[in-house]
Amino acid sequence: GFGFGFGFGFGFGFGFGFGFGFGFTPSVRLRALSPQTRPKPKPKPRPKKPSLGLRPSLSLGLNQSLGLSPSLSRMPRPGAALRLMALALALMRPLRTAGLRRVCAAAPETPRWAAARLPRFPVTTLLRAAAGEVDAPPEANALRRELAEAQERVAADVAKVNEVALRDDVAEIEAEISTETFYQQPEAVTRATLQKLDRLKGTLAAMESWRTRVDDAETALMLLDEGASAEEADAFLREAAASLAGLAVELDAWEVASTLDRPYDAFPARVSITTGAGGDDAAEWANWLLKMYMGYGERRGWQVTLVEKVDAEVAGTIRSAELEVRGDRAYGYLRNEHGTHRLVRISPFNTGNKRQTSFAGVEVTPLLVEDDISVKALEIPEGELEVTTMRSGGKGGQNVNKVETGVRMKHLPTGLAVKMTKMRSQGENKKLALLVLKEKIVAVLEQQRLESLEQLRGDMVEASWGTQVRNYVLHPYKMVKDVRTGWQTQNVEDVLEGNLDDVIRSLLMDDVKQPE
Amino acid sequence: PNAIPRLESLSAAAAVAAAARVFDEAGVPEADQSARYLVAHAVGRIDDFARLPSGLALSAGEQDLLVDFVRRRVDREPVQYIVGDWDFHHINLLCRAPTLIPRPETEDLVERILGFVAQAQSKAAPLRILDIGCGTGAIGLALLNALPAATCVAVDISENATVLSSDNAERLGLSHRYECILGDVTSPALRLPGGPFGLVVSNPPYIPKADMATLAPEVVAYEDDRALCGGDDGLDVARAIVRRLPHILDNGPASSAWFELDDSHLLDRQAPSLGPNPKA
Repeated sequence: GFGFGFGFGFGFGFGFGFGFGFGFTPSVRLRALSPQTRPKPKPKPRPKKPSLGLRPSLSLGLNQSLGLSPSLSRMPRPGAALRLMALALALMRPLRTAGLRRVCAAAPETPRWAAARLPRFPVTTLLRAAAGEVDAPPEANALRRELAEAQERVAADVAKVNEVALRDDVAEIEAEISTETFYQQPEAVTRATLQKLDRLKGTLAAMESWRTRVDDAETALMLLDEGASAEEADAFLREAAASLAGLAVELDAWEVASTLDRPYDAFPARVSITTGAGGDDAAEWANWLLKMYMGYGERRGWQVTLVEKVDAEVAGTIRSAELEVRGDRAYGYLRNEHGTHRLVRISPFNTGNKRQTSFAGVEVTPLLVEDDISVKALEIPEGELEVTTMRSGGKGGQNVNKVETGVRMKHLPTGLAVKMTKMRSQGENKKLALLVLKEKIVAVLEQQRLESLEQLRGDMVEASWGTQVRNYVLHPYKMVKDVRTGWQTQNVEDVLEGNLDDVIRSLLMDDVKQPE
Repeated sequence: PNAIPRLESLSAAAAVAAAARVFDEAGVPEADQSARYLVAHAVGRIDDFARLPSGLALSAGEQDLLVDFVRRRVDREPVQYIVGDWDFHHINLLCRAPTLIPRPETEDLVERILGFVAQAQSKAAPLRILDIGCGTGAIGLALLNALPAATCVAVDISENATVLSSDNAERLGLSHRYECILGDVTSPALRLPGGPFGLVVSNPPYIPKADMATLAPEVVAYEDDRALCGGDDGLDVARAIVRRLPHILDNGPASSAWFELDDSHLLDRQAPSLGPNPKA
């Protein structure tokens, strides 16, 4: 009877032959087949779609795109067609909302770090609304304003990306990797190229996802405009809320990641924590920081390895610890953690309920690999290095048999020093010491925004290491405040559990704003 | 060794602590480090000795191994002999009693030679090296590892050493550039193959006879005397080599002879001369 019937014969098992993706992720668009189509209000650059509009959207988690987004802009003028549409909707309603509810219920609980994104509605509220957890979803006009702002934000971000050049680059690299000679290159080269391709394709996929979400929110709100029952309106509002929430999260992540384009940002990271002044309190503080960074690495899905931990006297306290963090742009995200972190709280270690201040030093360096081209290029003249062995005085050589092969290596112009005892031969300890020394040098170069080793001086090293970067106060009030940007939160426990996305985001975005 | 608990579950950290305590009480030097190496070896992860997970559990078999290792170490057997191999410079060498265990100071010697050769000629240029008193093959093989175009002839008075250094060359894939012969460099009968060499190196026995008794048990009781004692002033073998130099060194760009000797041989301590002026 109506023009929707044919063409939907995909038979997803619902007997209607309408290919709605209940429990599937495809986002289906109803397209009226009437010739009297209204022109779309804005032209949207999109790849051509089959007219029956089965379009896959990114699936799972916050990206759940709900299964119904008819393109109202192609709807015919009010009249017969609209009544037909209303009839179709009415018939589909029980299935549609059932599907919506199931999909909404599958949306995971909002991560706390996603809170306070959109100006008017925290993502939490939007997602809870989408999941049907609150009585009243956000009001339609407010959502429309959100949509408008989201569209602006997407446009701004898309403008930063030269899409045409990007697609050209992707095509070029894909051609390159399909040649026989590509894999004959050294591993470091092929790895870098494949990573670059991943990143470019990731950007294209992200842009596609933003557009999908904007469309989904837009059409949900438009459907609302065309008149719907209270139940339907509820569902449309929740869908719009979900799309906008997901979009905000994606845009945040992308904006932060796109700041990480400095030379060493893509490297894995080495995080070293050392107890500062404050006795047992400081030793416990260092342990808390260790747990914080392990927590942060885990929530980002990175591989975090505890390489070394020196316990202090009291249980739950440490003298020092070292982590190796491997994951996408780990050094880029973590590099701003470098510096002194200060804790203020009531000390459990002495009687008298006194406020105690403790310090711990966090050192973040890129994890360098000998064979990497950038590492080879970083040459330190031999005259600048002082190498001493750790053997005590007295007779040596054939006179004794010792297993001590440790070395100390000091970079004289900067005073940076490394003690290396991890290997069984002096030569191997020297080699590794040099690599670790280079890591420290790179970290200082990055901190001070220098280009070359010649510019590096001792006072810059001190400035880099001793600076206080963040305060954590537990008494008499609760606050974490980053000294560099003024970012602060009262949710200290959250931060200490490893929720650093917000503060790191603020630091990286601030980096970008400052002219160098 | 009886002081190491044989437990259902013994963690690596507890094993290291127990072994170190045993060594301390027995007066074994470098107690903590020896303990770490031996526990790591017992679990088959010697290269990870510095970062063994402290909670790693030792199986019953591994605990038995550890007890055996600890017993041997309390008898002052060198850690390197117990483990069976050790790193030197950037290579790994099998170590077997009584062949002298390579010393870290000898790595300094290798580095100096490499620095000198780099200045004297191109890295790709061939070089015939003679290693006298090769022992495990440490010096010659470390040089071959760093100089892809070099070849080495090695001599040792001990058959244990000639077999061991050949085994090490094989293990490192350097057999095609390494040849070890049995011979006594102090004997005029020794014939070295192939004519003059581009560079001569030796870590000869250099300990004066009087000092031999003062050496630690690890050295005196387990390592070959012939690798250690250099006669009254410790320079017998070095002198013999220097006398031969005019006949075994060529005139190439890197032509030089390198010795590791004792502290007591430093010139400012008025050491006896090494003999008539060598050509090199």
